[in-house]
Amino acid sequence: MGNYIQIRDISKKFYGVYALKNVSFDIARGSVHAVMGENGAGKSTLMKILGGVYQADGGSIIIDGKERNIRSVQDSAGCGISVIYQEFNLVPELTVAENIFISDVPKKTFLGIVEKKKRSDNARKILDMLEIHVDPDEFVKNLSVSEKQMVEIAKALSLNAEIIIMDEPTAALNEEEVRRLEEIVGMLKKEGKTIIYISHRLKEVFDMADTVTVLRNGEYVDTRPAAELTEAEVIRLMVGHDVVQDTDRPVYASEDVLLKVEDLTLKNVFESVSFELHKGEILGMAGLMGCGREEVLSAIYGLFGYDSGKVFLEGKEVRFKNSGEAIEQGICFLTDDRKDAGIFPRMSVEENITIMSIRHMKKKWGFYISPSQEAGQLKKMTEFMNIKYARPEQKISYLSGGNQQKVLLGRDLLLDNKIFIMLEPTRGIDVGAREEIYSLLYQLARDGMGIIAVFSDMNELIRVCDRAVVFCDGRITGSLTKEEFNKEKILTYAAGKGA
Amino acid sequence: MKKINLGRHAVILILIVLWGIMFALNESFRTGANLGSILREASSTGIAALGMTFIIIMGDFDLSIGSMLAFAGMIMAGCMENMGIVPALIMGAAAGLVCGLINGIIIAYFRVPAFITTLGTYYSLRALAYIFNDANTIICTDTAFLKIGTGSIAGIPIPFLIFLVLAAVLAVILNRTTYGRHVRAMGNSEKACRISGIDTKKVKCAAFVLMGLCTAVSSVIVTARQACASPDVAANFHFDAITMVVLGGTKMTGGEGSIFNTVIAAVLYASVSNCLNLYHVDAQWQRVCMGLILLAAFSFDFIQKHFAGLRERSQKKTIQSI
Amino acid sequence: MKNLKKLLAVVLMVLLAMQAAACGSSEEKKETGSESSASSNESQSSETESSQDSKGVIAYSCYNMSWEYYVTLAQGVKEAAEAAGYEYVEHDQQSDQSLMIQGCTDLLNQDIACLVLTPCKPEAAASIYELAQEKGIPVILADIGTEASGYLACLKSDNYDGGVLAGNYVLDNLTDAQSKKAAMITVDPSNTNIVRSDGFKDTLEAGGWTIAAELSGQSEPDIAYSCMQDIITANPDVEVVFCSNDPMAISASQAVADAGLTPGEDVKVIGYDAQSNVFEPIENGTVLGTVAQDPYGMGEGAVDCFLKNLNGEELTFDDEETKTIYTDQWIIDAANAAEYK
Repeated sequence: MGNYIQIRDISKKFYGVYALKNVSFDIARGSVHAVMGENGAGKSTLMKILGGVYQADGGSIIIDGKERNIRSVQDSAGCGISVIYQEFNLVPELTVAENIFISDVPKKTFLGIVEKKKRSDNARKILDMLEIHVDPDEFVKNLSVSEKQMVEIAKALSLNAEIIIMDEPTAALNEEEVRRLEEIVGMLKKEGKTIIYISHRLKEVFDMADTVTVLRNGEYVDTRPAAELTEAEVIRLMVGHDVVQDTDRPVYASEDVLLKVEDLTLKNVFESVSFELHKGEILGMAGLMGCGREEVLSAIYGLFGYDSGKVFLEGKEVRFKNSGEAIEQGICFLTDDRKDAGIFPRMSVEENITIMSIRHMKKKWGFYISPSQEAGQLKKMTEFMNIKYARPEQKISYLSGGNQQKVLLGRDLLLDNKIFIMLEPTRGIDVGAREEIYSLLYQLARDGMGIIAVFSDMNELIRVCDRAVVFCDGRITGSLTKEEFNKEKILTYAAGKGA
Repeated sequence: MKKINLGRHAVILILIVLWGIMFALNESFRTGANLGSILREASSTGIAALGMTFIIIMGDFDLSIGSMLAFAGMIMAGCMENMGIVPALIMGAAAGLVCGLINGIIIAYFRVPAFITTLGTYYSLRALAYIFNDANTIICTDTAFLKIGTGSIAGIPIPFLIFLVLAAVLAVILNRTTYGRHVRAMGNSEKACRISGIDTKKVKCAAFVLMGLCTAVSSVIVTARQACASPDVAANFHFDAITMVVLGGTKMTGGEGSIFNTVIAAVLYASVSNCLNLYHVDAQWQRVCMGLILLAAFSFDFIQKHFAGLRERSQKKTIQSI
Repeated sequence: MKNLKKLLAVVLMVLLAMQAAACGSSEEKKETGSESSASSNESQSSETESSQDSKGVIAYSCYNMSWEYYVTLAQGVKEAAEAAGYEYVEHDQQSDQSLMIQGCTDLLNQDIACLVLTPCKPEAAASIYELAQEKGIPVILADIGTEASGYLACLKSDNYDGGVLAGNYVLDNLTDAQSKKAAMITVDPSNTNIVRSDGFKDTLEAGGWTIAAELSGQSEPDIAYSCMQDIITANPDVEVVFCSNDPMAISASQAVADAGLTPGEDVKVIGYDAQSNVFEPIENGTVLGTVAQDPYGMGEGAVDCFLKNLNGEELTFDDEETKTIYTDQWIIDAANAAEYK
């Protein structure tokens, strides 16, 4: 049974560039098989070939002893494959239940109307099984990113496929949800399903996977039983060299209070939120999904209002009516929804990085943005952050997640900022770029900036932040210094038990 | 990859091929008078199409421009009788500006969808144009004014010169000013704009004001060319302008587009209708043809997107494998 | 990239094929110039083109070809042009003044021999005359005149005269009238056809009748219907109603019937234009008659004017100042309806 799925010499080229080159490995029936690699290593391409989105240029796929010709998504489903993609394939205007059963609508009544109630009930069953607390009749557009991800998983499971491919399912999930997902994977494995699992998060992979295959630059590197590997070894296989982990970095936090928030309240969203941010400090914000931390930060930034409370910037009371005012005062904001609210996808790398700084640029004749000045700014940031792109005119959507994130950070760095608010600064970014962003944060802190960072991944939070406040249900339930950091404590506060 | 982006240059290629063929086949086509007439035709709608390019790049559209043109024309012609040419032109521009401002305020500040707002002003401005002079046409006799529509400088029709100057100005605004950047950013992602501190309402409102001003200029040319302002003029104006913009490769989804291509598309559109006239194609068949062109332009957008998608994936790979 | 090129080629082919197909037979025609026909003032075109079988092109630019009246007019131009050895082409303004200017400009740029024009917006036609004069191409107006000068002649019906015609018909035929009361459903006051009712009114009043009511039906049959209802309510003894066009007349006659009166007996309705759908009501008596215009004659006459001018003959105008020539009008009633149907 060691070769239930045989991938043989699969190659895929995009305009002459190999995305996959002669990749071959086997996947055992009933196993959890992790496929790892940096962004651009070819994992997603391979999964899309299995899912029928792309066709391989060469090679063959043998499932259960038979060679399969997967030419479309339907072919793939016919082979018993179901894929949970990294990008959501949900229809925002439909309800959760409708999305889950989008491809196989429950039986129709004699009136030809889909039995709505039955569909909702079926959807609820699946959601309950996964312990996803989402109303099946809610519209998908009203869900949060992580809820959408869970619905995506529910949708794939509803198809009852034999082979389930999960392409970074945990990128948008918090600790609790990841644990839940691990249980689901275990359950599926018990049922004899084969799971191909793609993730950047090493911990999950080691928790779940039986076997690990590593790809690098479109080529096969190695397949080994997970038990025989260590985290460092996997990273080495993925990157091709060892990654230096920084554990003891100096703390730059000073006594000067940069930002002080007092009793900030927005009815039904957050209540009496108070905290301080010091110069040179990296303040982490922890909490479960929907705990209100993003909302508090958005309110401070002026994206929406608050009912009461005060915000002091370097001792002066401020209240920003819109983000423009906040930016004027040196506060910037990095969104966690890079795709929809961060990048301007159809604009160039250059235009993306200068979109905020052009306002302050000195212009020819008072209005004309000089191309050389713009190019200069891009160059400065490119060198500072090691951003990779083909040409300055290249559209930003062609860049990898890590490079896009660097461009977004570069946008803020081109301004004279004092405070950086960052939501999930490392979401959807590969290991190498993640390290670069950490060191950027340290550098900013060293230069006396104040950083407020939201991390869903507790390990990241513990590693990067100097101090953390924990939210639960719109209130701060605990505050921890670096010395006090430990996962259990944060989780207790996050569950509201510490306050 | 220093390949010429065919999709982006498709309009100009089609224009060159069409002109080439017509030059070879039809001797009426290649006369200076005929070419001049094509450019003249292209200008009146083309100028409004410039403003429409901004609006569509922003991800909206404006249905009211035909009515706005009629209204501004009536105001202008009415003022010309009493006040003379310069005040009349100012009044016409002011009418366009005010109409655009009304659209802009309703859309940006009251958050009414552009479709509904401009449909509303489409009806009301047309009605106001009728009311202004009891549905009567106002005849313009000022020869200096008529020259704007019918005159030529060095063989080039004056409307086309105005068109080119405006196009150059707007191209600079779109590509190299903060405002133009913001317009394009709006078409890309309004959410991201809000986070980046862009005053989305102001940007949106200003684009509609710009649209109004462009329409007013179009109105000057149309009125001068017809030597009169009538309330029923330019019934299909918005349709023509939107067709030109789409034909020029500006995406209906917003975010990208080119003023230069709109200019070329305007000339192409006028050339096609001129060719059809030269061959005396029946009016109904002309409509079929124009409809097909619009469909082709739209599907072109789609096909380009498809190819762009493929290219995007390949580029992504290229980058990531660096 | 390859596919995109292919697609581009296909789009172009379709575009060009359509043009080729749509003009089809006229392909070789348009090559033929206007050499032989070229009068002394057509110097530009004469040197480039030559033809044995055609003297040139007479073009007709029409208000709106979906109206029966203008199809008849176009027929007149076409047959007269072809009889004289000219090519005929037509252009449809589709009631749009911009299309009128664009289409006529394109026609004039092809150096046609003559342009027959029914302007949908007479005020906007000035630039057409200007270009035509520049090119030395005569323009002849048919059916609708303009204020501006620059055309060779204008052929149209005398609408006032048509009203007089209808008035005299009433005076001659309804000699046994009791109340001698008449009413009128007119077009909009801004419409040039308003003089139709003026002619009718003046004639009747001179003949001892009174005009009891004069309402504007705004050219619309449904408005005419309610006008008629109001007229009957206010003046039950009205005997004759003049409507400024046929659709209004048919509608008015219906209103009379719906009011419980007998159209043709109690109230007699007269229309204008002699449209094809008015013949049946005339034959069955619900409409008394209609004033017929002669669109075919206008078309024919226009070509005739051009030919006369070409031969150096003087044109005789009914109105020298506006260079207007009035075409025939006559009454169609039950007696002669079959003849013109």
